[in-house]
Amino acid sequence: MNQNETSNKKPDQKTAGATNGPAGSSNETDGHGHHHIVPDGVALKVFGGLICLTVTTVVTSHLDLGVLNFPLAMFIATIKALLVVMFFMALKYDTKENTVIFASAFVFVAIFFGLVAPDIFFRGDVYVKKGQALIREVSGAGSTIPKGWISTPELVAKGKTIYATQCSTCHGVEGKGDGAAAAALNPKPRNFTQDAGWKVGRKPSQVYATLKTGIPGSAAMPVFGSLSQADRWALVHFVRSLAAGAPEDTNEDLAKIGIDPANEVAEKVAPSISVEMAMERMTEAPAKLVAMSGSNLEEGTSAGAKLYRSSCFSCHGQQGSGGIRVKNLGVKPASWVVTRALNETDAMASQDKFNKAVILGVPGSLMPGMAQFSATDLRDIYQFLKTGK
Amino acid sequence: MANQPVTSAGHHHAHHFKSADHEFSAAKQGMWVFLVTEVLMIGGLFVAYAIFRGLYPDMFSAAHKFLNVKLGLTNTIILLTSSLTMLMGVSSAQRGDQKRSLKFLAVTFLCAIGFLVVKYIEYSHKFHDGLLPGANFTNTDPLLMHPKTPLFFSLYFMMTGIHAFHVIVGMGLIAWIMKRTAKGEFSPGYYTPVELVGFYWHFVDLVWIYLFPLLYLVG
Repeated sequence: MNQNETSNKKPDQKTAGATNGPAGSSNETDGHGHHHIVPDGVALKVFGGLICLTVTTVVTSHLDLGVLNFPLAMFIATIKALLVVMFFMALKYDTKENTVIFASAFVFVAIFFGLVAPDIFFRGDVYVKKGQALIREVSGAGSTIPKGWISTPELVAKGKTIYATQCSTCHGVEGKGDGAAAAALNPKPRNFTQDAGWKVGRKPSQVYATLKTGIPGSAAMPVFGSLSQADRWALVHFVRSLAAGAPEDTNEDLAKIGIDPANEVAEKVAPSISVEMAMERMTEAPAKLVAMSGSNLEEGTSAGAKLYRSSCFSCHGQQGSGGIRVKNLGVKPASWVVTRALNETDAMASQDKFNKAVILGVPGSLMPGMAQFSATDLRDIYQFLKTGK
Repeated sequence: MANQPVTSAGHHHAHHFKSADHEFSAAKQGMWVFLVTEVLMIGGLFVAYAIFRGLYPDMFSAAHKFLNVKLGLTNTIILLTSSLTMLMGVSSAQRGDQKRSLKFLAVTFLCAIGFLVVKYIEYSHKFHDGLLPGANFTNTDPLLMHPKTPLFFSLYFMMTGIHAFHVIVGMGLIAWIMKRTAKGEFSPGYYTPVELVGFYWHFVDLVWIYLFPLLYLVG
């Protein structure tokens, strides 16, 4: 082989273009061959360009260009990549076919990203839509059902699902008044599985009123203002179904809560987010909180800071640091839950999770769903909590 | 056999090709197709990177400070240099100067070793500091409080690890063509393996061109 090698120095016809041609020439014998020899001069120039661009990208990464840093870094990287592909890999002198083949890989990676990204980045907006729907219900639109005071299997089934998220924390999964939070409560939550002890009464209208206004003097039963009228009726019929022998309403009972069964006039639902009010009532307001409200929160002028102060601050503290005691009013000795620092919660892991937690609440905790925020509001609050601005 | 065109020292193109050039362009196209599969493989990781960086920009920003930019830059320059020497090696082989080709291939091989040495230094620092993927993450620096921080190091090790694996494979390929060059198997008429190993090596460089700013220079 070695002998052949030396004797073969003389270029034959097939390789004439590759060896004799000027730098950068290509030889297309019978339309298939594509030999391109990169001249050393070109190689060195390209290499110089690559080193310059590398230095540029390192230098610019130290500048604060805001959102432009990342696109700039990717732009420089892409120029470098093109230099390598075009000159080092000589794709510039290669067939169109090979260019298309190689480019197709990037097209498919882009499709992959294009299909995944919208799902990941905009999933949180689904909760915003749910929140808006909830607001519509609370404001009355679409939330009324005809003759809600009459139990139907559908209503009981619906009530069961609402019960699991809204009531079981205190009243227990089976309605025995033995939920996780029950230990801290006095008086104890109602045991729905027995006939005795229903403070306000067991008639549909009475349970309904309890859900709507809470139990006066026993703030452990808060006002479930975020529930629509239909949801409230569903809960009424579910908890009444847990034990036999629940009494029915008379027309007078219904009249007491503003319903005229003859005319089927549904109760007017005031547009309000009463859970927030309930939380305000339940929040201990010691000197600690007062002192906080006077500090830089007053200065906080960003939209996120304002929203946070009006809706979150009372329980979560100045910067979401937690440790605020939310007390159950009317309970002696005082018992309370302590809010967790927000950065320890999973809800702060992403905008999506944050939106979900705020709008739907956190099942099994005192965090109520707050549906009144727009997507922009939520982004502002999240931004405020992440950056303090 | 006698009427098959002899294009180089003892290299006959396979009988199903019209000519040596035909064979060469088919081999090259095969290489491009192979590189497409490489892009698709590493592309999955780049998409994962983009998604997670989009979800946790603050975490990426904090975690990247624990990578050593100087070492990353050193490796970038080493790889770019090795790409240049690889190119010189290939063009020398194309022109028929096998001795020069061998020298440049040897420099390329040394660059690859240099790259892996720097990588080893980087990796051992990360291991020492507990900056490891997933459950193995034990670093307690207050800057790394974000619960998803181990994810950054999962991506870091996966992306640079797959890249380093390619460097090692590339070293094997360079050693292989060096051996064949030394044996005098290549000539201006036949240098397909040299050029295609060159492609592979440039591709390894290409991936690093993106990895460096994405991992080390997060804004």
